[in-house]
Amino acid sequence: MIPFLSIALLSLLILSISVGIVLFLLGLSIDALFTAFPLNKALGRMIWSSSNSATLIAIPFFVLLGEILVRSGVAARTYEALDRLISWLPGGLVHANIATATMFSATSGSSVATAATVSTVAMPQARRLGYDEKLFSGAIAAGGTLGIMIPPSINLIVYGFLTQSSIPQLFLAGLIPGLLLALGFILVTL
Amino acid sequence: MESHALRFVEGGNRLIVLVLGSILGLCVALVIVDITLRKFGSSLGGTDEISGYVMALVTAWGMSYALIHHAHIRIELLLSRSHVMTQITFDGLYLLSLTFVTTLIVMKGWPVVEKSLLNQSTANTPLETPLWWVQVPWFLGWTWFALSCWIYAICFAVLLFKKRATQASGLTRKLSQSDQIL
Repeated sequence: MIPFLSIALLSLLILSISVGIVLFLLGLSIDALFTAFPLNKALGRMIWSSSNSATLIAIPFFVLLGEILVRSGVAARTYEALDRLISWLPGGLVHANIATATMFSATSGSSVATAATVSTVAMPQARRLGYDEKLFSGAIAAGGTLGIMIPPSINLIVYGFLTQSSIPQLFLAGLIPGLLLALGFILVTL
Repeated sequence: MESHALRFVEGGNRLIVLVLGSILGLCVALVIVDITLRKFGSSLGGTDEISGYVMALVTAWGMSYALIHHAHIRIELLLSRSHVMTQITFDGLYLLSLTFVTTLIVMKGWPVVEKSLLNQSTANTPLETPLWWVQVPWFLGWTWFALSCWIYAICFAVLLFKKRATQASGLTRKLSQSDQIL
């Protein structure tokens, strides 16, 4: 079962079927091929009970918070402030990217959202000031990974929800590694 | 024809996200009030239950908006490096799988709602909410998503038939601004 699922997972993903649908299809294939139990009879009830969750409501709330920060201009101003604070270091604005990503990670729970926000405010600067776009966007992508590490983190909420672990403790555990990673990124670009 | 159908989905979704945003805002207010009251040794009661229902509604109704804004995550590793014909096949496959799964969800979701309606079931919580109050809108949300998928899949086929392949692909992923149909 495991080899079949692994191969099916990778091939469906590479066919660019959306990730959620791939997981559904794999679930359905387990039902059809590997078990005598009619699992699909519980499908409706499972979808209801897994989405009706007070823990997971934190996810849309964090997304909302991130959206408010971007639309209100806080993200752009943070970038400006950090630019003035640390751009004198060799590497210039690249450090501002990582620092903004670190700050934004502390309000957003998602890596994609962090990278997207920092790139909307930072990429125009790269072109204006003539930075190497590859290095510049690389720094933003790396900074984005801090999004799920530094609390709050959507992935940790989902992890805590699935494993019944304490979400505040998971958040606490992500803080120091996240900050160390940010420091590491800055040191590498020096 | 297809641009009308697509505008219908887009317009519907714009209205839906405004309603969903307002519901989320109200839920935030409710949680804040409840947490403040807890500091004074009191509580509204049932906040967690209500936020659970809000989560179920927001996910069900938000799916279609995610579809039109290409927010359902796809790995485009191979897609971005392939020939146009292969890309169209992949996009078609994506819409087909989406339509299949959402239709299945709607078909499997109905018995859940039906049972709550027939038995007049209430939640096993202090509020004793009649379950159909929340399950009917939840089910309608998934139905709207399935309907949007069907509309998108049919429009995709129609656009291909009219040899407007770029616009067809534009339904399933982000292309450059000038290629978009909407």
